[in-house]
Amino acid sequence: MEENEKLITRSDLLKTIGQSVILIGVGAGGYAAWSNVTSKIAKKTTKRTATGYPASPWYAMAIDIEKCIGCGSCVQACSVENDVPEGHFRTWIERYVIKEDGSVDISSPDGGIHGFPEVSDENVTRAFFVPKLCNHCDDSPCTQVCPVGATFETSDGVVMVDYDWCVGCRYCIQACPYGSRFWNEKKRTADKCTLCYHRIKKGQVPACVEVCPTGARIFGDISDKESPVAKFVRENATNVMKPHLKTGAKVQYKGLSKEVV
Amino acid sequence: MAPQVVRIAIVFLVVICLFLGVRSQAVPKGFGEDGFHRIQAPQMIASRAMSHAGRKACAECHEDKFKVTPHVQKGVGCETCHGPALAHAQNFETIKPKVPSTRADCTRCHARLVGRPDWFPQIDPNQHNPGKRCMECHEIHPSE
Repeated sequence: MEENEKLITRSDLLKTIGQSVILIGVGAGGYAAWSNVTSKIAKKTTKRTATGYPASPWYAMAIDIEKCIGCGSCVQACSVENDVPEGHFRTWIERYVIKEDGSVDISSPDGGIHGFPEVSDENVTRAFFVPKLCNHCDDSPCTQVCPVGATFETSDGVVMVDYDWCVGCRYCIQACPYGSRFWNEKKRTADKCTLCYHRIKKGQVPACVEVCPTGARIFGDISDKESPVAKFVRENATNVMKPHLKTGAKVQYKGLSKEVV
Repeated sequence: MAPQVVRIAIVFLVVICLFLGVRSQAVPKGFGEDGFHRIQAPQMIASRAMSHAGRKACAECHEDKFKVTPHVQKGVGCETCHGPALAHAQNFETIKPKVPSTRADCTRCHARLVGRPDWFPQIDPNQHNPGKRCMECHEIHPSE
């Protein structure tokens, strides 16, 4: 009797094997489902095509600081084209005035939408305008912090907000190192420059590029060597803002001064 | 297998199944197939209506103006001065774009200003025929 209690009967053994097989099966199934999801998300960031860019088209903008006259046309056009609420800007202009004593005055009254006021040119060593907008980073902090995947980079390199999916937590607004995002009271979502995605997909250029009177903004598909932006970046010494952050910013500036933050 | 192990396994199974069930309902179809976002989002944003027509649309009717306008030859688009004009392009008989006429319309770009690069033509509005309309001397669209 005592020995019998210690022995495993055949039916018990079969039961245990059966249960183990079911458990392993469920575990393997779950793992497969999970890796399927993660591989779909990961696949995008790893590939590079022959052009040196992840995809073609791969939209980018270049800005020639030496050509900007601070007229504010781009800010006005952007506000109308994208129905931007008053007091917020998808693109804006900053004026940098560097004085003889080394001090730097940075101003952007109403984002430069009405231009800039006259100031005295006394003791001014250097002054210039810098148009700013979302840099459409390839490795952007804003898309990384979005908990629901409402802000994302498209397969053609544009960072956008899915307005119907955004839950309004505003992490992305805090995460952006360039201050390019704002809270849209009307939509109750985060908002930002889309590179006029609704225009560029119809073969047009962004509104700010269309109205810039001096050609200070250059837009195009940088993976196409013949595009204006690829040519500009090839022919001129350009740099992105805050390169040390390695955000993969796609807006290239010519004449970017060290004072620009 | 001990009964308590079987019971905990059943609890785990139920929780996992519940999670997968909720997940399949909460995650929209196609999510993650083109990056970590709803697959239809780019298309939805791309389908928005425009308000600037672009200079190619202007040239379809106003090619004559293109040939004689110095601004255009220097690369300035029509909508820089005339404002967004897609509504006009689609309905040109009833909707007319803005016609700039004041000094401020010109000085927005051409007033002397700290920060404006030297190569760009600038005037001092207080010295340069104050009070006079720019168009009295400067023809914007010269007729040949």
